[in-house]
Amino acid sequence: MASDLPSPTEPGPAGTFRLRTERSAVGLERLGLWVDEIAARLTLGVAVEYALRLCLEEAVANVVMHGVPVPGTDANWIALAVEPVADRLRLTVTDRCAAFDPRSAPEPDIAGSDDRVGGLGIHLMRRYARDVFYAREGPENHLTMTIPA
Amino acid sequence: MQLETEEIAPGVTRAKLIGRLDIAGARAIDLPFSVLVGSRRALIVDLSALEFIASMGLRTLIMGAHAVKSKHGRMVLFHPPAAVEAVLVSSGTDKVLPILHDLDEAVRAVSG
Repeated sequence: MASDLPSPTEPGPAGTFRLRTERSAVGLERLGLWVDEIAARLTLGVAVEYALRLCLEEAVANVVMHGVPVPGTDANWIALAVEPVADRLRLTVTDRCAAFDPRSAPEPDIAGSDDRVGGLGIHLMRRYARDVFYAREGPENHLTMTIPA
Repeated sequence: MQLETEEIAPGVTRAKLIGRLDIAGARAIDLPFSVLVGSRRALIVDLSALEFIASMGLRTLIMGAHAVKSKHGRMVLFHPPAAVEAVLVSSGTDKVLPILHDLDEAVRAVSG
């Protein structure tokens, strides 16, 4: 299925950058390099690049660490798209794990004595993205964010 | 991601984080940082060369703070770039880890 997608380092039709990568630590490392490439090609400012990197890393990390595969469904990949639209970037993260709306995560409680620190990722995504939308379409989770460019 | 340490005053260690503290960076330094927070009671974490931090990096710092505090030690963050400081403040990390921009003040804070 990967062959029907543009090269990770090339913008697709209408200027959309796409990456299909492993749902694993390797995929996260590939994501970092992909963001480097997008930032260079779009000559993004420091703040926009930071927001792009942070929102994508948090979203993908959430799927890698917490995604629950559905029996009979190939959940070993994550598809990403970054689309420049007017004065913003629209980011889409698609996976085939079990339905999960990351917006439902509780607010973080980092001051507690418990060593477990959760909920920071979605908290930061809400802070750095203008909008965070979630939809379940068939077997796929679609998380869409927009960040000011 | 690199972690460099030096003793900058008697009993006071400065740990400098260099690079991106993303997931890959956090994985790279988690073990040496855990050893550090487990063995120091006065720790200044120098963030001046930190280019990026996300939630996994925050988790590393916060758990380090809990570890130092459990031994009645003190840990502060020193001189993060503006973009990194914005994440620290937005996440509330500054409420459990003071952010200081003056090194002498940081040394006094952990020496107390």
